[in-house]
Amino acid sequence: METVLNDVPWSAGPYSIKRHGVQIANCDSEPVQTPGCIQSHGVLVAFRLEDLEIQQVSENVGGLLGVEAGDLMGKPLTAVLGESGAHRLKAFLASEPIERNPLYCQTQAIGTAQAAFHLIVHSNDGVGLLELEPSAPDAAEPDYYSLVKKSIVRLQGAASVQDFCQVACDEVRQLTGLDRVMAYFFHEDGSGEVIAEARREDLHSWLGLHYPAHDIPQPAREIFKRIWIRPLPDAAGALSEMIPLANPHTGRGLDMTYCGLRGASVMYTEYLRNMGVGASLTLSMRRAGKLWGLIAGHHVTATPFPWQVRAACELLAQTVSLQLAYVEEREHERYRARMQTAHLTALARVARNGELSRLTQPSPTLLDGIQCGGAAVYQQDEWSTVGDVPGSSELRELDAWLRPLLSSSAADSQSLYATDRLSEVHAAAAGYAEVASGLLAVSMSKTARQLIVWFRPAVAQTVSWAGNPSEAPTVPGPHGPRLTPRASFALWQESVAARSLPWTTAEREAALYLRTLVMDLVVSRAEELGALNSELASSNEELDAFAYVASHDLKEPLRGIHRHAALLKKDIQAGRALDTQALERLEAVTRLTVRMDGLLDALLHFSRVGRLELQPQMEDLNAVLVESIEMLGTQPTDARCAIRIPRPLPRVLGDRVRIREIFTNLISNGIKYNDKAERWVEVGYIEPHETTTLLLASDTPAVRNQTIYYVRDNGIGIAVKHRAQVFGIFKRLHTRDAFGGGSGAGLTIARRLVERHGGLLWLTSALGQGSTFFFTLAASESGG
Amino acid sequence: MNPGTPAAVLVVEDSDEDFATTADAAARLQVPYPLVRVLTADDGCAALMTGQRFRLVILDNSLPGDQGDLFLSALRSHPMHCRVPVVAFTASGRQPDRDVLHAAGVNAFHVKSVSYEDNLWTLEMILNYWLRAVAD
Repeated sequence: METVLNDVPWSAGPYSIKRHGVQIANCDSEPVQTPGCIQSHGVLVAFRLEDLEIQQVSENVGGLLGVEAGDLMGKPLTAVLGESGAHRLKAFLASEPIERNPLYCQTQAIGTAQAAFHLIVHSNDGVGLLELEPSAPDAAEPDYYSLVKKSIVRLQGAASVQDFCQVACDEVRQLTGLDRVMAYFFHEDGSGEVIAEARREDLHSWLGLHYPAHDIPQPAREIFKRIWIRPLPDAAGALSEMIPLANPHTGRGLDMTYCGLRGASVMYTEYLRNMGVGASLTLSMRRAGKLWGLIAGHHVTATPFPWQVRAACELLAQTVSLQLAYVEEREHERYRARMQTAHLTALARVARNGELSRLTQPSPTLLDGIQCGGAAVYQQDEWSTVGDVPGSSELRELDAWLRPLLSSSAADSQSLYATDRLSEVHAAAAGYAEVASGLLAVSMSKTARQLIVWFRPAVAQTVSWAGNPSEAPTVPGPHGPRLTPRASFALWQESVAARSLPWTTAEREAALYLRTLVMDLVVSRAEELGALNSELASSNEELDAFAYVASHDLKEPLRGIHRHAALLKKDIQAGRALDTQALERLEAVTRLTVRMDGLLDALLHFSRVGRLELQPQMEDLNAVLVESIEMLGTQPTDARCAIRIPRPLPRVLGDRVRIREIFTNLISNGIKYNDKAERWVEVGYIEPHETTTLLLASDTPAVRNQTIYYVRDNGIGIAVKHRAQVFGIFKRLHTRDAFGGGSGAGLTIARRLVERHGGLLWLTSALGQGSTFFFTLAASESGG
Repeated sequence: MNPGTPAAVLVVEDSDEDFATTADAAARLQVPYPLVRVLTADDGCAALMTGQRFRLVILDNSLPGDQGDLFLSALRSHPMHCRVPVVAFTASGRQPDRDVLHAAGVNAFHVKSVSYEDNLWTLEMILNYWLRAVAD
């Protein structure tokens, strides 16, 4: 700031609006806190706090109070207020928190005319500042307390930031009676936008007006971070300079930051005059120490702002600022929720088939999430788009440019790219700035093979302020037509050509979160597909085995039937009488159909076993075993075969009917494939950690902490090379008629049933001595 | 080994009906060799050790216990029988089954039909070709 000051006309001494003024070029350097002048409708007196000695006084003191400035210099304040007035003021100064906080002190008759003045006083860095404002002729004062209270209630009910600002405008207009009250919002780039407005019916709307950042110069913004209210009751009013210009106490221009009477920059008053505005009242809206926006009130004619109105407005401004954070946070939260809901809903569709293109149709699409004009998804060398997006060749070109920016790392920060001025970083985008000035892209994989891109149009494209051209001043001020809303808007449009609304933190986070979800989905889908594939492969193998069975085992009896029928037919054609041989052929056909029926039954049963839903319950295995032995028609004491049960079986969680079938299959095998004189089958179990000689380590699969059930026999045994084959459907180790025959499906079905319980079925055997079939009825514990 | 013993046709077939069809074909052609039937690969291997010479083997691959290819491998590694033609006459024409038999050295591969007449015709062709057209 110092270096700047050296270049301006007032670098030699204290500044005065009246003497120096400013130009558009240097208004950003204007010392608005020390303007050297006040608005002439009141009087400002600067005094020494310790002894109330007058140090400075505005030059209009003579006109308003009838006392010349020169006569007051170095005198105590009693010279203006009288003994009692000065005494009350002194007491007020001692008791009230007046540092940088102007407070109404009293109203008293002052000067030769004994006119009534409101006294408003504050201190600033050791200097006392007393503002004297003429009291308006007595009028019925509204109940400001009730008005403000009502306003606060309405503010609390606002649903959105927009709504909230509208309420604020309405309430300020209600309190002040101003012709127009607007809420300006400052964007991140410092530019402003009118987001709410309350106005006299016959005035043109300024809603949607944008203006460049420098329309409200930095010094003015700084002041609005400190004060709540800025009154200018007469924009065309005269200015009164302080006498002397420099404060004798500080040696510098008087700091009028907190003065209601502070003189306004000529830039501002000219702007107001050009707009046909006679008075203005500005309130600040702050959030977290930052200037969030302004509430600006305009009146076509000059109008006083009595201290009561100002106090009420100030209270309202403070309330607005306090509530703003909450309202804005709530709105952001709603937006975040909206983005997330849209993303999750669209993703649920993607999850069904893994195609990211489902993010673009049907509704809700990416358009319903992050605010954008269009979005495009790139997957498997194809773009799918929704909304307004660049053309397909432009997308391809954009993709080639984006890829290196995104593919360098899997880290979140590098998998996102965002810009609100695409054509500045990528010249080729200038051609489609109207649809894609803003770009937000996330890559879904390290190789950036999958992309999601959001596009935003140029913001100027989306905003058209209807501001009435006829509002241009017929006689513009000395700075020409520049200082008008129309020119501001044009300048702003120029400054944001080919720029979009910026991407907010919440939007970037939403994009990255979507990326995480998609990547999780892609990974889990890949796993799912892998699992499905292997399931499919195994079920294909089963189907294959099925077809094999159908082609061989089922056709075998058919061939026999065909043979007998063909021969019988030949006999009849040859005129042979139906003899014993013919009868034998018919009996053979009957026998073969029965066998075929048995095979088909077994096949259907096997197929059903693979699909059926188990109905697991806690079952007493002893009861289940008794049932299965009854079904076999063999009592434990049966002379043909002894069923041994060394100890009662435990209870188990399983499907009673299916476990019975497992037992039936295994026990019947034990009885059937037995050539011993004294046949026996033993049914037992082994608890986890029990030691037994039955289990041979080499034959035992990985079973941990599980009860193992077994069915053991002293039968013919199974050769090592056949131990896997015995579980194949219709696979028999012996010729059809040996050991009572059988379809060869029993062990296949038993194993399937065990597997349906999550368990395993395996065997050990010694040829000629017997076999033991082991099984478990639950999945092995993980880590086992 | 007894060179004086007349050669036979070995039929490895577990199905009674299918063997009967083979016997029908042999009877119709008046094949001058006796049929020796075994029901399993194991029994087939045993037959190789009896000293009996074989002029032809008709092999069903789908057998109880071991499959036909096991018997075929044993035959091909047997000094006395290694050159005997072996013709597969089996239910499954699946490629993996064919491949296994070809790898084991089968001379020809035929798939069984449901039709008795077709099977009879196939078997007659086999017997006619391998016993009459092909030199011993």
